[in-house]
Amino acid sequence: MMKDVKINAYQFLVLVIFFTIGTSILVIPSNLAAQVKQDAWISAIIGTAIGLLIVWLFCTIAQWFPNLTYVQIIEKLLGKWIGIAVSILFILMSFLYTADLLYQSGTFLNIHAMPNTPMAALNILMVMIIIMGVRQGLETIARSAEILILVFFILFIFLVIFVAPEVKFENIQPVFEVDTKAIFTSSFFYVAISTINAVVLLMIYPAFIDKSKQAKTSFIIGNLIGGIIIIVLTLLCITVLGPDRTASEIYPGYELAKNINIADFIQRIEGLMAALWIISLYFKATLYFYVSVLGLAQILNLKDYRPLTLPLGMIAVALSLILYPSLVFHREWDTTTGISISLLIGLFVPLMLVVAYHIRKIFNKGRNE
Amino acid sequence: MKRCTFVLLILCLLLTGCWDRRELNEISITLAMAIDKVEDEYQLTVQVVVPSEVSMKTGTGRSTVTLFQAKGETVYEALRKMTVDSPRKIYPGHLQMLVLGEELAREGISESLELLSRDWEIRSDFFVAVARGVTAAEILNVSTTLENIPANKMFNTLKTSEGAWSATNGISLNELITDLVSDGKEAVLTGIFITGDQEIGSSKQNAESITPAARIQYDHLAIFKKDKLVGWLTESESRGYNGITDSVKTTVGPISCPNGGKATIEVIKFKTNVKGKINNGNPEVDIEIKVNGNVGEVQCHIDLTKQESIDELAKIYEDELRKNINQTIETAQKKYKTDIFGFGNAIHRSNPREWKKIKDQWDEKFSDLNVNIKIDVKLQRMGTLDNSFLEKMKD
Amino acid sequence: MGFFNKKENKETIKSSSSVQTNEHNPKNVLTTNLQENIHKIKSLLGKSSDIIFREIRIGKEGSISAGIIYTDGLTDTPSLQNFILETLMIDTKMVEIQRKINPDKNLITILKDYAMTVGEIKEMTDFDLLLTGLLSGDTIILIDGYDQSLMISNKHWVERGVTEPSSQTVVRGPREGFSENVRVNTALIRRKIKDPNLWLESKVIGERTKTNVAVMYINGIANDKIVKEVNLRLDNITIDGILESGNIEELIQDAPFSPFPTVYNSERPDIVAAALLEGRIAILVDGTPFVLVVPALFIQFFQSSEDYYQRADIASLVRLLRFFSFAIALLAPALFVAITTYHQAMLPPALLISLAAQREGAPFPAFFEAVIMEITFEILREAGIRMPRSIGSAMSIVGAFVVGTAAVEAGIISAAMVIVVSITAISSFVSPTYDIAIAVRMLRFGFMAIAASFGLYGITIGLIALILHLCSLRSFGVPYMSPLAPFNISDQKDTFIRLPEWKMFSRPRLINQQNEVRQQNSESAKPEAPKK
Repeated sequence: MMKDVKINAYQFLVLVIFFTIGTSILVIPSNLAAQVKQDAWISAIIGTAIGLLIVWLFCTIAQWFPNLTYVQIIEKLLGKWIGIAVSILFILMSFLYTADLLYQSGTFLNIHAMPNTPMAALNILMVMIIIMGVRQGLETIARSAEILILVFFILFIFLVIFVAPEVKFENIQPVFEVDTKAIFTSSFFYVAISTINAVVLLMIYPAFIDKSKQAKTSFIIGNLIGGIIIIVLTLLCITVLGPDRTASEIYPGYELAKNINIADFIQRIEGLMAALWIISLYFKATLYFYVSVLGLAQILNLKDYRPLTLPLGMIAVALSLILYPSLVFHREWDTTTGISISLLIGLFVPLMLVVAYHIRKIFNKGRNE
Repeated sequence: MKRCTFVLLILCLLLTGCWDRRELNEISITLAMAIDKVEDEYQLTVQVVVPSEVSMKTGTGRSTVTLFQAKGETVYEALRKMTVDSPRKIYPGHLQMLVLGEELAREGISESLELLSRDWEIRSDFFVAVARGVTAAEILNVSTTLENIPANKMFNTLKTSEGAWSATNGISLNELITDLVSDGKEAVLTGIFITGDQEIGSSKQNAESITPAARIQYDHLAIFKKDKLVGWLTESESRGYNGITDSVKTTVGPISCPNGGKATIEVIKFKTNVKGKINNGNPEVDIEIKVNGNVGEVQCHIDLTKQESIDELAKIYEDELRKNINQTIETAQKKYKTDIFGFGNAIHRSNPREWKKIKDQWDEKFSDLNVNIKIDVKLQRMGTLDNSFLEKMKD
Repeated sequence: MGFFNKKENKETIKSSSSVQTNEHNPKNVLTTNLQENIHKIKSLLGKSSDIIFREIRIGKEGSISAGIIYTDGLTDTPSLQNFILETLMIDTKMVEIQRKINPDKNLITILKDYAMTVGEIKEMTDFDLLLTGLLSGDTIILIDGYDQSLMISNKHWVERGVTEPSSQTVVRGPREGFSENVRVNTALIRRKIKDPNLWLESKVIGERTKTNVAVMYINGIANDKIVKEVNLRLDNITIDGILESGNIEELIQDAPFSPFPTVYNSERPDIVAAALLEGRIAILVDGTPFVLVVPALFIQFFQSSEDYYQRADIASLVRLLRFFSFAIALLAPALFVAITTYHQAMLPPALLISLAAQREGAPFPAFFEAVIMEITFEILREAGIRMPRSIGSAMSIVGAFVVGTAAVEAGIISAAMVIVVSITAISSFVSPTYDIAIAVRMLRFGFMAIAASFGLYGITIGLIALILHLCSLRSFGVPYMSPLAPFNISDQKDTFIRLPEWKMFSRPRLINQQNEVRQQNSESAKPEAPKK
């Protein structure tokens, strides 16, 4: 059942774009602006560049075993027991981020549209369509992503066009005010949140992709497109809102949409623009959830992952409600513990795999001779 | 079976929903808000629309708006306290006008604005003004003609005059906060005041007569140091201010003719460029103004068929503009010592390193800042006539 | 969600019941005794009075007794008299001569081969087939001493001719529509496509109705796998009766619990012919003018045949308009409820005040107002369809005046709500096919409910769920949302817009895999630019 699912390279590209944009579109501008003020967009560019390197690393690992998922690769390279331990860690991270994203979507809505609605209700609604998507399978998710990316881009282009008249280029001057080091450190958070976490996509690529050769370019291009969108948005936030407000707003992207005013007629449309965030957030959360469910099923040797979706979904909702005591805690967690976890799973483990692969290769060679 | 449970779950979720639902007849639409300081407490006044009176069909001729007032130690407290009086919850999402009391402004405005930028419902694109000579609450208490909702009248008047007359400047909360947090620019707000009889002003009768007894008008810009009001610019200084900060869209300027008498220049395009630089360790600012205009009115004897006389008029306008701007800068530099023009930002943009050094003593540096002004006036057209009929009458 | 994915179950139900309709039963054959045969038929048919039994004597001096049985009303009486009775009773003398020449041949074969001057004629020994034929309007000839019969096809009954279809009307385009007779319908299609590769497979479905069903496709264009799948699903049907193609549609569709149709139907031969040329498969059912077309894709329900007869530019715009009105029909009341009760900030101030003024004193929450108006409208619409034409005008007065105007005047319903519901109603009539409008009608209420509890967020979630559902559907193996998902750039030429005819080189990709080229170098058809 799981084996014959295949998506094509274009669908994978779309999923990568959504994953890269994900929550970054909401939190990155504020986070970067807080650290490097008007140079945030430079950080975003550097972050995207670093991100491409990391994606290249992922692709290298993936291409060694074109038919295995990441969990299977880990098991193959690190042996059964260590492999399972690492895989469990990997799945836990993925699952944790599912809950984290649920928390973020709930918080966003609580802050900007429905302060009195309990977050539980909002998250249950969200998790319901996540479960629905995951149960329908990767193909359905990919196909819906194809349709919704059109919606996403149309909305995004509208946002850019409508906000463009408000752009004040004085706001990004002076360029390079902070030193290079600060710019690099700030881009780190961005890389962690949108690229290093993309390690979870190795559960899909290359095992479930039609032509994995093309998919490699998809992975890189998708990351690049996602990066460009975030760079554009960061730039807009800074030029329109100014670095100070960008830094102090929790969701500057939404504030940006509030600034739309074309001839006193096209205005007050931020509620529609919120769809932009919900869509990208939905796909990122779905991918995280899909990966955790699929990974768990593979560790447990289940034939079908579907029975796991409902219980895990409910746990995710519960987790999202107790994960962070407050928004401040969440923001702190994100920039400290969150980054460490991402680095451990998304950078350290892949590097470990590279080492293990080469050791095994040498070992095998020695044995063959 | 499982499916049924699932459907039931969804139903439960839907039916228990509606936490944030507010029907349109459960909210009071607030279009204007006034904040005063009364004995260490904030006094919040809101102007709320009475929808049925605004509608042509159901209107009974009573006032279209009503006021609610409450006091509290913080603005938020006062806002919530208002429900003891108002039958509906105050809904500030369409706020158009915020009026601050002069007394409050002198004590500092930033604390009272905090809520307005934090609350999720309030959009920060409304205009902020300072009540001059009266309390802010009194401003909201005047009924108006033409626009039957006073808040709309305030909003639209400011918007129109900002575009057509260079002495006013509509400043939104967004811009105000940007100015407040910026190191290199101090805030400025437009003044709002009442002329005439306030007693009658608050009654419906005021709006019914051809000449209302009381009117709301804008004039003079309030200038701030940090967040405290320090003084008012005169009308001509306000025009100078708007010229320097590139906030003039169109305006008219009366000038004296070379042979006595008056003429008016209609400005159709006004573009200012402010550039900061560091000259021998001293900050300096270059202002470059480009004006495109028409001869709008001629009340003196001048031969408009000749290019020289047009040039002459342009020169006179240029001189008057320069004088005006110089005087405005002097007022800010010498009298108030506050950089309302954003010269600091200009220097920051061009030379961030030097700016870091002088940032802390900017107020003193600003006082002896050297400002170079370059003005270029182009007069292109002169309405539908060439020479005035006044010319002929002389003969 | 889970509500919709039931397609696996159906296969098992079907395969468990593999009873053959025409199973050979050794007991049910004719005997050599004529009286016995006639008696048996009479008793089986319960003395139905429309079955006519005519006993005659044929041969030289009437030595052989024969029986003619037919169903009155289904059989063409003039041809019965001219070509059957006359032949048997007068011309059989010739047969006597023939018989002498071929003494080893029996009378039945001789009659069939040398005497009967009719088109379709069959020898029949099986009793069940004989009865089916008889009840379909065939004439049966039984001859004493033979356990065989002759079945002559001279069906004729009163039927509606080829008239203009009442659904899917067009301004420009052929006026003919399918009728109730499957033969006429296949003929209408053949008249449009005179290709030897236009193949037709016939089936009889329905234990009791014995309905003729024809599967039509163009061999070499249609995907073999889909043809096989269609045949498999049709063969698996075991049911007592098929009265309309809708019965078959329900039995063979992929997602029985989805509100969206996965089988297309049309009463226009030009639409079906165009579908066949694209590689789709048509299922014609006797007794209904509605022909099924599979596989059916989502966008197909937004394409009207007129799109291809009009200029491409206006056709494209009209098609975009259809998608837009689809969105209105689906979402307008939900958006109205969401915006006025959750997101007042989105309204311009003047509009907000005007809406608020209308709502002053309104007794119902906006959501209930919307539901009441929508249900009222649905009632009016249903009444309008079923009611005799002459009362129709009275109903529109009651609907428009009493419900609309009076409710607003009385302050029970706000005027804005009436406007929204009216726009929704009009928009739902824009779609060229009825089926998609039905789906929208049902989903609209769901969206209203979710909008009432979660505002725009609810609507966004609902839309994502809807798109997930649509993407999970397949129609006979083809993803329902193609060519949008999976995205196919070359098929976009006929999706949201329609490119000019000379740009449409290839057939839709996913439906047919083998013969993609629709036309070649059609630029040459255009007149050349005048040379200077």
